[in-house]
Amino acid sequence: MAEQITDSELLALFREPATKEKAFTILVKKYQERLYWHIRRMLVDHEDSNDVMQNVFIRVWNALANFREDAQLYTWLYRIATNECLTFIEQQKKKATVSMNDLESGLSNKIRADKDFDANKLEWKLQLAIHQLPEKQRIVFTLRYYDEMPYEEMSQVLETSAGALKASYHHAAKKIEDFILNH
Amino acid sequence: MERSKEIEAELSGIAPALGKNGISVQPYQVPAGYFEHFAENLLPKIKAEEENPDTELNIISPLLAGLNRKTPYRVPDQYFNEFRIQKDLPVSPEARIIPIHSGNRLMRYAAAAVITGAIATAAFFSFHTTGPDPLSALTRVSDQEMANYLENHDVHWVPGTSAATPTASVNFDENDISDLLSNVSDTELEQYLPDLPGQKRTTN
Repeated sequence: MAEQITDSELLALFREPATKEKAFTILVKKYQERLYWHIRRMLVDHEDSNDVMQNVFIRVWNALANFREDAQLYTWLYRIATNECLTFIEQQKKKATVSMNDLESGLSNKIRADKDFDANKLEWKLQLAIHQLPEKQRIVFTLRYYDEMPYEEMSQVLETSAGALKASYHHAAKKIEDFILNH
Repeated sequence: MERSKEIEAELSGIAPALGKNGISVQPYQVPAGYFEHFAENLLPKIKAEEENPDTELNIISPLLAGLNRKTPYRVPDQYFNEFRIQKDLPVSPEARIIPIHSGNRLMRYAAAAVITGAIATAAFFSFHTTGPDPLSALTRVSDQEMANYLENHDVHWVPGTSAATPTASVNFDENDISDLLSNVSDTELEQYLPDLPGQKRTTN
């Protein structure tokens, strides 16, 4: 049922006090998996991803009534999720007082620590390769590669021109290919 | 299509019927305007292919395009079925959103004008303040009060003293006194003559 209702209908229901909670529940059901995987690919760890997803939907609850519908709803949701991920990563950096490189190797270590990790399998090598990328390039790659997000929508999520995102994706894909071929 | 003589000669050797009759006219029909609009019809298709993530990735990296795109991380069983917001959602009324640029510019300009005017007025009066005219105040003081004041406070001129001294000092000679008293009648002068035996007047 969650998939059948349109975003406009959802927004209309959300703006009515009597149906606000019901609309919110439908919205969560509709988008939770997409947002979860976007977050998980950034943060690797399930517990961290769950925390961030909680924060994402709380922000959605607070801000949805004022959503101007000048972009797709899911683009707006992805933007919130991306920003929450970046905020979480910043907080982790401050807590641990480590450099970004150390944090990235920390995420790679989390991948290796996964009980299902198999260094011989390409999908795991791909995850390690993705986490070698700089933060923003990593986001561009995962949004395009996994979510098949159009560049125009990605530019609204990341506030960067579509041309720059395309170039970034091309570079990212090449780097990942090199990593996989050499490891 | 014109064929070179070499090809014609060759064809004549292989298949004379084809070579001599020159069956080179193609029988196929082309839709009207096909070539005129071919380029402009082609570009959107190229763009659409580029924007297709699969096609794009195939061009950049066939290796990546061929991978299974499933993320290998595991999710706890029933996680999505049971997902709930664990923190309390705020129920208070939404905070009023105040735009950065308030629409009521007129009030802001009016307030600024009032403040500027108040500051300017205060500055004007502080630099152009005129107190009560001391000369007009003196007209209310009687001559006797003036004389008493001068005597009680021992105010007198000492000829020859400098302007730095707190008391006024004026050097009068006889010509000055004549000039000063030129407009004063004898009757008025007599009013100011003290009826004190043996006292000399000191000029003020």
